[in-house]
Amino acid sequence: MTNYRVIYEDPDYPEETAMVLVPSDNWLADAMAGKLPPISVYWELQDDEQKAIDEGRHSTFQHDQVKWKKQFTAPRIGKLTEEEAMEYLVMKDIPRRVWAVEYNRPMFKIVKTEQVPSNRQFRNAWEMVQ
Amino acid sequence: MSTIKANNILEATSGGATYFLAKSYSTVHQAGTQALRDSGNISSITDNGTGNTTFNMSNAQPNGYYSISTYTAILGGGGNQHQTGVSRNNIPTTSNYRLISLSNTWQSVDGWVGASIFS
Repeated sequence: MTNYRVIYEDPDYPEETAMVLVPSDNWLADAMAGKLPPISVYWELQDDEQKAIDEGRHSTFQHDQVKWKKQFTAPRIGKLTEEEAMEYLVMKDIPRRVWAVEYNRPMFKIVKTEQVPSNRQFRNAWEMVQ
Repeated sequence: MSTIKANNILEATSGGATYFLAKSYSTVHQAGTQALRDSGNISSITDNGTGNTTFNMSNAQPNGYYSISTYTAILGGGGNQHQTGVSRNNIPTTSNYRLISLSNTWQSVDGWVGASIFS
């Protein structure tokens, strides 16, 4: 079981609590076994869908079949270390504005599981410690 | 491990009805340090707050017309009934969907959440 989590804040929603990304052990096993396509395959799909959202046609959106199939047919990128897999996951599952844009403070951190509080009494008030 | 590739799987007897298989499944324990207990076609979950989880799929669906089937179990006993639904502020995309668990007084609460998608 992985010992990593990613804590992040979304600059588009500053009023929201800090979010915690929890990796799937099954996905990590695939990443470390070299079963992932290039990250650009997912970005291409995300870009197409975001464009449909922006243009108000998301309710009827369908992925281009050729691009969609690349998830399964593109050459695999080879085995990743657990740390490399976590970086890949950040770029795949966290909105690009969080990690690709430079702000005056970091918007995400890869941390050890034990650094995430287990007491959830004030969960909706969590902020990322700088 | 063997792989079966087929476009349709039909029941062998009793009329040959078509089986529809889940495209993704997961079970999440939202209390404590939120954890993904088991999953298929899920790369990660995002703990967005109390009773609020995003499910990120390993591979995107071809469109957003999929159906989400969920359950939520009560944590720590008590009589509250829980229900889980899609957040109205976060429309599901082809690669993720956000679920919120609510008590019978419409407060968001942590629970055991299971979710599967079919398309």
